[in-house]
Amino acid sequence: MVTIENLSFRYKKKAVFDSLKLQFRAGHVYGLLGKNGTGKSTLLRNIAGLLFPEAGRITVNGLVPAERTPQFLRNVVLVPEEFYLPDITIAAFLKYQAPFYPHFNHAQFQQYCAGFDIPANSTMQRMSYGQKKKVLISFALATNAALLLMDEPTNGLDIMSKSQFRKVLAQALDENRCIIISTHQVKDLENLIDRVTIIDDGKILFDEDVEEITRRLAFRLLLDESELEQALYSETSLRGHAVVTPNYDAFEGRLDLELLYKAIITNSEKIKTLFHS
Amino acid sequence: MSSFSFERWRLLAGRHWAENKKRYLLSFFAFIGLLVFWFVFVLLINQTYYIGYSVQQATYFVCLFVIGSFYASQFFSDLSSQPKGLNFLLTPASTLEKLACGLFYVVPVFFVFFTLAFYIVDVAMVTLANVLQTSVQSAGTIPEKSEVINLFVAPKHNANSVNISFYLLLVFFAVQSFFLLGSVYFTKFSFVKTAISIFLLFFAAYFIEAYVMHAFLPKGGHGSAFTQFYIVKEDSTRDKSVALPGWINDVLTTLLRYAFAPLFWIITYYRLKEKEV
Repeated sequence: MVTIENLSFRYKKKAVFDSLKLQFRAGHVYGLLGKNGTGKSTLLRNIAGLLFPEAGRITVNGLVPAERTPQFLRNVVLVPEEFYLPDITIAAFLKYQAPFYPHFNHAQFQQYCAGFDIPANSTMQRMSYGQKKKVLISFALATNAALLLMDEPTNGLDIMSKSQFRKVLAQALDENRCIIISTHQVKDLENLIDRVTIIDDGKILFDEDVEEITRRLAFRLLLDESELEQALYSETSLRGHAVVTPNYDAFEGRLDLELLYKAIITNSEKIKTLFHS
Repeated sequence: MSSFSFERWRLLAGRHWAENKKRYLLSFFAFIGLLVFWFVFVLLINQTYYIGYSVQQATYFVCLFVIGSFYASQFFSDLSSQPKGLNFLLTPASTLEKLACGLFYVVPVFFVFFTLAFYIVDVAMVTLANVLQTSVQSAGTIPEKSEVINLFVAPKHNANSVNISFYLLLVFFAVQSFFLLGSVYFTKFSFVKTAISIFLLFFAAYFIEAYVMHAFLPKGGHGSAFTQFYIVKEDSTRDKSVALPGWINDVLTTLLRYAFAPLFWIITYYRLKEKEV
């Protein structure tokens, strides 16, 4: 779906990527994690064709994003963190925006909006930021575009909407579609993503399937401090010690994205060794 | 070169209208109000209640240049706002279709509605001027009646001369196209920056012609055509005349008259194509 080969990109003075290599395949939901300013949004914009690589090549289903052809644009939808929706009714928005996307499904859009409690005849300028975001997310999903890029999609959503977001996104995934979500709100996506990609300082620090992560690592809550020696990362909580340890005993636990992220940032070499052993 | 689909262009034009119709209608009526205010002012300071050809012509062209340039300078200003620019660039249409939509509104739509607004007010105010003139007419005087001007033919009192309005319109479309280009080039204060650019270009052209070129040429000056140069003797009488073939003069004259606007559209196209957000 998305192939990134030796991508180098820089803003005027700041180098962001240097010979980055990465692949995103159809049928997966990718969680793109990283500190502020490490290049997550920049990567999404390069993939969307909004920024052009200094060197290297990006292709999305064989098309070059920087050319921004209609064939490319109707198969890639970006839900940015800061977005614009015009001051028109949802009906007018659909009338002029939906026909650009050949696979747009009006019934799906209505279904998603209903799930998000968005009144169908609202004017978008009267909506709150969260409501507008829900319209945008509903629209993006209803386009049935092959590549869906989302930058902090759950920012501004209330608790119920976050839950609804996870539900609709899970429904929207199929084998021909690739969803890449850049976020800091890792708890919102824990049960949704099936591959974790962590960017740090313009490089790919970690890129593994969730299945492989839970096979190799165990996320547990320990009460006994004596077991902390094994931990790749630990932090104290009111209930005990939350730890990430190598999963030598085939422990069947759930992925804790926040702990994983912290473990990789603080102990990346050991974790890399563990995954490549 | 980008592809062009009439259907996508129609959608873009429809979407632009849906998003901007309130602003456009308000601006249309605001312009009518300002014109009425101006002509009333002209009538009040002119005790003969006469609205002459030059007043109408100057009103039309000053407003056309100022408002038309300002409108053009704002058309692609969305690109300076990240959320709006993103929405614009990611719309699944080719750059050519997006430019064609811009040109449609900036060139024919603006010109037709501007001229319509002008004539609505002009006809009304000329009629009012003539009514007022009749009512205050003193015995024995036959004041000149105001007439609605036709900007597209040479004035009646000077029927054999060239129609200056035609050339002013050509200059206007070139200037307007330059401001449209400026709206893509400059992310902030595009109107002011483009106006300064025009001033600097004119200054540079004048400097090259008046100082640089003349430094290389013998004493003399241009003849009736700018492809002709005459050399003068010591006593300032004409000695020799050097002229390029007539067809070169014709081609250059045609290009200077008609090529500026399309040239700026082409540059705008390439600038839009390489725009990053």
